[in-house]
Amino acid sequence: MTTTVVPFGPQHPILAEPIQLELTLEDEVVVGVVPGLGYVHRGIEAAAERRTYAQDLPLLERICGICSVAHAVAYAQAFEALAEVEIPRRARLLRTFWFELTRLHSHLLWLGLACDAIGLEAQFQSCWRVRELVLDVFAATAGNRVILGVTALGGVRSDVPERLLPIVRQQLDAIERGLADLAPLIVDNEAVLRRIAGVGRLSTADVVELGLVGPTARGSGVGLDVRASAYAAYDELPVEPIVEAGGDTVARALVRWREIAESLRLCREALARSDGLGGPLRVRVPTRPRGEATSRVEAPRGELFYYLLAEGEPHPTRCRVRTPTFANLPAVLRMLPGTEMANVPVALLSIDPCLSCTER
Amino acid sequence: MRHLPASRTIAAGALVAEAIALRDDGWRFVTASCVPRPDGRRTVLYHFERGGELRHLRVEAPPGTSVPSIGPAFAAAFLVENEMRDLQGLAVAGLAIDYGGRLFRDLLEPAPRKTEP
Repeated sequence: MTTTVVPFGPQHPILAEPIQLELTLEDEVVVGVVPGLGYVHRGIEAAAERRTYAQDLPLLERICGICSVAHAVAYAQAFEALAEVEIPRRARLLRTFWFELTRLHSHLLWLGLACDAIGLEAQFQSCWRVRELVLDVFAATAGNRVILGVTALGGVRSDVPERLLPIVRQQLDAIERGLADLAPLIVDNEAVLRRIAGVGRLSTADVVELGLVGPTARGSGVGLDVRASAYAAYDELPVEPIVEAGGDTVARALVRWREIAESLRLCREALARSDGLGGPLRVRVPTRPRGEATSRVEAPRGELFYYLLAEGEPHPTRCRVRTPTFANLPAVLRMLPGTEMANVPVALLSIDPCLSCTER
Repeated sequence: MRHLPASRTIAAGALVAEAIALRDDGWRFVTASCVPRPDGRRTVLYHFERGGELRHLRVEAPPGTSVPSIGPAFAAAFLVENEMRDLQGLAVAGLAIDYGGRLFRDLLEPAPRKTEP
């Protein structure tokens, strides 16, 4: 049988950002794949090594517009470990509030894109209409819709003012009602589930062997969730990893769907516990720390890892960022061989690839 | 300097065997971090996780030397190993998928090998 090599991307209707998969096909079936990166590499790690620690925070926050809070918190945690400071409880709760809102809007964004990829434009718009409510909460509480700028080294930069609390709670209720309207259109819709069932299958062994993270891992029965390590306020707001055993696109979609509800619960609880809690929002931090530190957070797409090396200069000697998509990209080596070419877009989307993060 | 807790310095020659031992013991490869030093050395930290606990292997690569790929232990390591080669000039021997200095496709030619300071 003749084989054909087809470049999938870097420009493709389902891809919001450029990546190339070099697909080797036998007829319509994929038999080999090599992922190609680097179309929009920005050199942010190197740039961070030329700026002060405080200047790095807004820089690293801009690695990704979707999970900007995750990058800010991961970097701040690594810095705080270097500086050996403990941040106030109020700051930990507020970080958790904005972090879970980030997960909420990221999962809704993905759900909309997944619907669009299989031709369901009405569902796509419905998902994004609910997501818009989350962005409204961002705008009300942080002043920004995308890059929030609420994290500070040593705590948080701003509070959720008391006068806003009823509005935020109403908005969270509206999101919940929006989700209830979405369910019969997507996750309870037999036609949608049948279209994505069996696509992009990954076994538990694949996940373990490739070191996959986030909903991609949890959709294959691996309960890996960094929130279990109790960073931010997850020590007082414990999270049970949401796991599905199917290992296909349906399982990954259901993991994200169930996590949306869990994030809503965590947002409400974090807000309730921070309400009326006095005390400072941040603590003072040194400007020239020394040592090495790592930090991990559960970003919407999975584990986000930071490594900082500080040698007493006003800037880090090394700032290493390993994003969830960088860890999940090797999944294509296992889930695409044997897949029909027509299903490649859905399979790739099922790991929720973020090239902004990957091309940091 | 205060190193990471649970980090251990090993010889480059022992890296693959150590990685295989960690894998067999249930550790997950998180990533590797390469630090180019002013004297041309490269310090490479390999980060592993198990049950929320982190462990790190530290390898020193003097100028003109290479480190072996840990691909035989962790198949997905090829991406970060290609990246360390392209961005930090670390020579990696035995890559499972070798991009030949073209992991970053917008480069018109292979990334220069920064083997000297």
